[in-house]
Amino acid sequence: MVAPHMDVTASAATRKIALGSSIAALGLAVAALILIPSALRSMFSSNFLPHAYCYLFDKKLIALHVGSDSAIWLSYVAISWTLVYLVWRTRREIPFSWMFLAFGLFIVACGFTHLMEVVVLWKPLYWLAGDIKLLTALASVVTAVALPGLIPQVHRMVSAAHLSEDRRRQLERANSELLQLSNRVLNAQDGERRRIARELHDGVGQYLAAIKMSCEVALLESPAANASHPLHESLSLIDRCTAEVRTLSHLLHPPLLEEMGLASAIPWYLEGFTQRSGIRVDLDMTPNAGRFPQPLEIALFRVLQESLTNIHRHSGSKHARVRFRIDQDQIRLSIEDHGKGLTNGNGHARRDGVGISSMRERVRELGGQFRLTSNSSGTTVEAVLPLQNEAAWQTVSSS
Amino acid sequence: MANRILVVDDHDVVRQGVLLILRARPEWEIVGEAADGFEAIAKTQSFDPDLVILDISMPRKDGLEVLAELTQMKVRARILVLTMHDSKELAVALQTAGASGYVVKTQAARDLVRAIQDIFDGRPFFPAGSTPSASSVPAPASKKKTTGMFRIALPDPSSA
Repeated sequence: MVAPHMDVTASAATRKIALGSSIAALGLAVAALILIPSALRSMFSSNFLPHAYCYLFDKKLIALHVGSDSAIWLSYVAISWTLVYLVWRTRREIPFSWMFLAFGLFIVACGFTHLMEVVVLWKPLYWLAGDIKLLTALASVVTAVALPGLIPQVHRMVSAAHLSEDRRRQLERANSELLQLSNRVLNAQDGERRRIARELHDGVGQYLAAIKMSCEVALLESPAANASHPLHESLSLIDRCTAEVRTLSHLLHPPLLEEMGLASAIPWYLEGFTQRSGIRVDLDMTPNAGRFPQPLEIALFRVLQESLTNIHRHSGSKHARVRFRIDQDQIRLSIEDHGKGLTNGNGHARRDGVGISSMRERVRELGGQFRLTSNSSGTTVEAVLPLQNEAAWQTVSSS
Repeated sequence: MANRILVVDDHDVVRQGVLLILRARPEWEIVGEAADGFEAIAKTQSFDPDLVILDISMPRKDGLEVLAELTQMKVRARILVLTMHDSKELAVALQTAGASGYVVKTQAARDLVRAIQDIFDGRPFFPAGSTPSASSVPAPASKKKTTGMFRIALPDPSSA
């Protein structure tokens, strides 16, 4: 199904070609009309002397003229072919390609004039030569007259080119600013999560511990305390609250990630995820992975978190596989499920949600590659991060 | 008879809770309180307590640093650490650093009195199930300047 606007362009191009061809045909017809009778005239009135007589058949003089005229003729033909080729190649970009064609015609005609100079050295086809010169004259005059008129157009074209170069540069700058902004947003988000996690842990958590202490003492000191004392209920609620606050805080920012690295944080997170979601996760992880620079660890962890969250929310899959491998100097993390994939009902891929874009941004910021493939039998998220990208880490950690 | 105790924690609700629990033993004397690491060291030097109850996670100078310094200064006091989390790594790190035991805050009511009694009787107090076995545990890594967050392993469901 061709889009409508393409039809218009196609027919406009066809029209241009048709117009061009008919003008060329007309030109050829005119040329033929002029040239054929004069060729005949030349051949049947051979009262003229060949030009060589003027040169007194001096071999050197003749050689000079023949040599120069032939060289000129061949070069002109070559030049005009090149011009035609140039016009053909840039036909879309140059609005006045007919100008180049006229130039080409003028040059070819000049060339043929020189060819005739060689011919008439021996064959006195002066009428033919003269009419060819006439055609050349016409071509030259047309070119000479039309050329100055083109100056404003050339000017406009050059300014348009400058303008589009400027715009392109502005666009590039805007793009890179946008990229920086989105990275700053992601880092700010991470920082915020870390702060909230800490607040929960250090603030709320401490209050809960203190409340528990005080309730337990109250129970101990209360003479009437038995199994049904309301403080037992309070204590159990406090325990539940403490557990929830801890889970929340750890999901926001796992202290394990900062202290022990991905090698501990990934299995820990997967265990919790399985408990929370009921989705079984197989982990294939390079043993003794060691530590990596913090921006790398956080980015990979967030990719893992986001992918698993998506699997839990959207895929309907009961099983997932996580691969974390280190080869040479890159880290490969992939999260795979066998759910229904990222399509909306019509089978088109759903547009990137914020989560997927943020994963892509995090990975790209560190000089890595992010790939998401999805079809109706499952989805795979893959992040590959290089281990040598010092420059990228500096940018991230300083923002 | 050892009975002079210094309580160190940056949250005063927690200090109050500890004091409340220690009310059960009137023979133990709370000689002072401190809200951060610097104060902890200063007051340990000036009050010379028999026991310092020390919170692990405090801003600026955390419990581990205080522990290390006090051990280096060879103070007389024994040190009982208070923490929010329970883990084997923690137990090993603390014991290596010179602590006589630790108590998880959410189990304070249950464990604190017993821990102090044990320590005063000369026994270390490390909660069951976290007996340090050096083999499976990584050596305490260099501490980062993450204020207040100590290393933990898997959050122990039983301590919730």
